[in-house]
Amino acid sequence: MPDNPLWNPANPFVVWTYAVVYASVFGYLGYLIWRYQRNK
Amino acid sequence: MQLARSDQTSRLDGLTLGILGLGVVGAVVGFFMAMTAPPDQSQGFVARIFHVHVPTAWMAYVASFAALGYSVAYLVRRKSHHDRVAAASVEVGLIFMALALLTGMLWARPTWGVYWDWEPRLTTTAILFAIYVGYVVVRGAIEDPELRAKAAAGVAILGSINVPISYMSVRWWRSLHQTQSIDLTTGRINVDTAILIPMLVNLAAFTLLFIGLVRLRSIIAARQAAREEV
Repeated sequence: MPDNPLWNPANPFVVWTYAVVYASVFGYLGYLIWRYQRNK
Repeated sequence: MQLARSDQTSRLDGLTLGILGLGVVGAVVGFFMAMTAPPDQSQGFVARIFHVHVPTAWMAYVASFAALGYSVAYLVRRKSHHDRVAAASVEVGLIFMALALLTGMLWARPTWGVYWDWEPRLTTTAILFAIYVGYVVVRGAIEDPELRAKAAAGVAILGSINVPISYMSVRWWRSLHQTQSIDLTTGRINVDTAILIPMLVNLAAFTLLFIGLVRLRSIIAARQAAREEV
């Protein structure tokens, strides 16, 4: 189904979803490590 | 497994690093498995949002129960460590709750046609998010550590009541949101194995990340408390 946006593997909703989830989780992990190191 | 030991020092221990490392590797593996999962019959590749939406929503529920457990433990045993872990669970849980709401909205737009609808599952999840924002506000507003811990524990206990309501809302009041993919009340799995497995890998990875993040956040809080005591 080439014309259906739901069948586009690079659908912007999918791209944004993964970008937001991984950036938030790894970003928060990085922030906590930075806070830990700063107060060492 | 305890999220954090009661004799926890303010040093980053090997177990926390190991859990976080495994969680990061699991999340990378889960990402590649999700990107190679077959498309859904009706939703096509947009259904790949499922592989992160369900794990983030589950983590929000897990965080709520963790906060409940440690809040009750604090009220019974009055150890500040339990209060710190409850607060860390809520903080990490808020991130997963926000992500569950956001990924749900990004999934709703191409499939329902709207980002948001005040239907039962979305409304109860939004209420849950608001309650835990309230938890953070309560902690910030009270200076006395004992009173702060008691008030926060009360909010966490009350907030957790909303979790089973939110979970069952898709069955009690059938609306836009689909029913559970894995129904814990009947044990029935409503998705195909090829789509289920990447989601389960992400669920395991996010669980490890949740435990590791709560432990790390508790260590930072313990260091802060020790410094304030000096």
